[in-house]
Amino acid sequence: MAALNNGRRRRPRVTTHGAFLALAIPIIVGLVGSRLSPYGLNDTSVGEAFSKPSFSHPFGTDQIGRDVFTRVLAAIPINLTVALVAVTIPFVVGTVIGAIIGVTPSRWVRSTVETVLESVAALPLTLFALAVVAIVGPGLTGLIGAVIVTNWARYARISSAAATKLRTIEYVEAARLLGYSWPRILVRHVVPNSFREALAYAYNDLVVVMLLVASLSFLGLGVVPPTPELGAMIRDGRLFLGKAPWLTLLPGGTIVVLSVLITRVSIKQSDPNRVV
Amino acid sequence: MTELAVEVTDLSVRFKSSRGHFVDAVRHVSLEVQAGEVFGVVGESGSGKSTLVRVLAGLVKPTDGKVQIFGHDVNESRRLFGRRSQRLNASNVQMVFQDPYSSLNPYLTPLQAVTEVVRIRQRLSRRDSREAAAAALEEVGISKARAQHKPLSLSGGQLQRVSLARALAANPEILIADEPTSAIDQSMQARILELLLGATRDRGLTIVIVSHDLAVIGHTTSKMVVMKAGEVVEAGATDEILTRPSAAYTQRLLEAVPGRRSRPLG
Amino acid sequence: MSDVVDPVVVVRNLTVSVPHDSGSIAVLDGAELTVNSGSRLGLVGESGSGKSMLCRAILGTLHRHDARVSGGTIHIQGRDASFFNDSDWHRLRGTVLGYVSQASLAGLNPTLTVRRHLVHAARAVMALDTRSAERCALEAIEMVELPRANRILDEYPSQLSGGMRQRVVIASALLQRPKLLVADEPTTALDVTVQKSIMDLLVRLTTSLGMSLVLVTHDLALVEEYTNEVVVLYAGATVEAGRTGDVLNDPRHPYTQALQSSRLRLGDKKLTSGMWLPGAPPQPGEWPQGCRFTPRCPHAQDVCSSGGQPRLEAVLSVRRTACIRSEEVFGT
Repeated sequence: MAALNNGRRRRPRVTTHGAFLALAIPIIVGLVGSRLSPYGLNDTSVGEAFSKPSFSHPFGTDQIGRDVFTRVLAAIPINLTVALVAVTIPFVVGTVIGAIIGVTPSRWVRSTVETVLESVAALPLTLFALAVVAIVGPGLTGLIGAVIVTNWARYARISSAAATKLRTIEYVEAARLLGYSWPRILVRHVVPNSFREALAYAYNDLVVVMLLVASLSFLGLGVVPPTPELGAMIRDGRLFLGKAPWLTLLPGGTIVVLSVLITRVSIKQSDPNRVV
Repeated sequence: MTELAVEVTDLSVRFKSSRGHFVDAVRHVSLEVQAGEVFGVVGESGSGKSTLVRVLAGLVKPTDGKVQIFGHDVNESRRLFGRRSQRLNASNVQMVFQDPYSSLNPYLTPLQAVTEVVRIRQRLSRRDSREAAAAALEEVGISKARAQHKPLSLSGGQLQRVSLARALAANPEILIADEPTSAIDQSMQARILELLLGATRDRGLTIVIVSHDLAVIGHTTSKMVVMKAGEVVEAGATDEILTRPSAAYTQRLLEAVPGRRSRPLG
Repeated sequence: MSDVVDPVVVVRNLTVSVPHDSGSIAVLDGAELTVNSGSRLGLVGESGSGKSMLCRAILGTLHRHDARVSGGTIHIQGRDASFFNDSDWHRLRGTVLGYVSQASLAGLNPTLTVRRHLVHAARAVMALDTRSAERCALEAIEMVELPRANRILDEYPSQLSGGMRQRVVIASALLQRPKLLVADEPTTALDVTVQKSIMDLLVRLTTSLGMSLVLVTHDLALVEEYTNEVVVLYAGATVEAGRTGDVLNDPRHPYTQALQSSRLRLGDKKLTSGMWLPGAPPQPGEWPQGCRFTPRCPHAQDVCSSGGQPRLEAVLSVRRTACIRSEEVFGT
């Protein structure tokens, strides 16, 4: 729609507000829902073990009679928050570092640092996470730490490429002429105009990290029981797949739904026809 | 005797291209611009005209030669670019760029952008800065209402005028306009030029206009240089050069200008 | 209007719309154009005038930009284009209609030599064996007056200068000797000496190939120098049409007059206040009532803002203008 833009082509716009709100909703629903539930997270009731989904237990009960629905509701905020933390920290740190690297005038310095970044970014996320957990033992801290340590470099690469282009753009040159210090230029002009690309990657990363945490928990390397977590619940339920399939399918389905939700939100946020 | 705003002596600028070989963008250029003068730099692509003025602005480092702005060596000022107090004095050269669409941060409204400049350079309070900024924008024909819209909704001509207001708000002694009208519709070009000339008259500004368009230079400047492949091919009074060029290259440029047959409307 | 020779393209009262929000907006409304055989027509317009959309309408590529014809007619070689389907347009493009623009320069694949580019282009539209396609490519290069044609054929676009690349682009548009070449700002990014050589080439080609040229530009100097007819577009409508010399020396629409006055000429020195118009051309969706030029027109009166955009009317024998007050303002 060039005609409606003074002839300028519009770059796809990715914004933050809608996305975070969209994620806050399931988190709040999960937190509130699990509190409101008549069942506790760990209320066992052996007599009711393996009951099918019904009105009183919408997701059925597990092998020791705990209400699955309550546990799923409690797990949602945990899965989402862990993913958010494990993505936001590298995103922020990486984007800022990348912006600083991108505006460095010395081509030599830039290429050296970028080579280092590429090396770190090349470490496969899952293997690295497994290695870290093997060393420090299972638990969320180790896992999140592993993700942060590798992922920041990926964001830094994206942000650095964007910032390099901005180094010579006219409004940055104008800022230099006006006497802005480089820190001010970074904050005012470079970062706001270069973090969009990294943000698009971050949305995708949310899903990836969420699945990584669920997978590692599935392997028993993530959360420590009895913390409710969707991957761990799948792990527990898989032994009873024949008898009580809902124990695996429902938590698994929830992961799928959350992934789709995040993806849909990110698609809407990146709609090129959106006005900023 | 007026002072020399710009004195360039045997300036050369050499770049290393991304492929590794050297590019001599500017070769042994010397020129002088008097204070308060409107000076033109004409050339085609690859002539080095943009590199030359970027050296004047302190954005590009000279490889050889000397450049003085009101007696201060530009290289000295460049090294002090990082230190705030020196910066405020050294940056008395401002620029208006060719591409109006990348001249403004898309997230700042014109009013915000100019207010910031006023605050930094004129050290006024936040409210006074805003008022001064609004006034500066009115002077170039941007109403306060329009100045509060994001740059996306402004036309090329309006954006260019905002750039001009921003540059003037920094109280420069020298203003460089790099192809100021090339990206603007014809019916709005004369306005930008008029505003530029008005700034010389009102503020005693020295202006350097870079253009490939000889008519733009002819309408605005009193002295000029013609550049080709990094060198100055001809220098002197604008009227002289445009009517009686001595260099063959200048002659070719003049002959290539289209549309010289119709007379201006009476 | 001389209708002795069959016009190649006739556009009448064209409306083109694009989708917007939940409805649509007109980007052209009241656009008119007649390209006679062998003529060189300047299509003059500033930003928001719709000149690029008008080109797309003539070339049948509106759908690629989500636009469509919502009123008026286009006739190509006498046939009504509203009955054209995709394959009709496909046949026309290349054989009857050619196109060159700024964007075409970027369309030169940097990994293909000129030879491969042209051979590929030739075989895409004509059923040729390799040898004929190569001969076709060589002829095309010679036609655009590139020296040492064989050497050029083996170069990559990055090894050629801007002007040479533009010639290659022109060559690929002319492979099938179209009847009409639409050149959309073909020289904007080029130096003035290169511009002259490209424009001179285009003029020579119109004679040697018996081809018409539509030169789309905002630069009246180019129009004056290289065209013999001109159509002036403002805010989606044609406001004046006629022979170039007549229109530029004796305009009959205030916008044309303002454009002519705003030209910076070598030899003139002073910038006068009549040289620019206040405001900016209105964008689609923001067109005012009545004549769209009214807010900026120095001769506007109440009658101008009533009704719709005025249609083109004949004022002199071969001149048409959309200014309803043209007789009062400009005399007869």
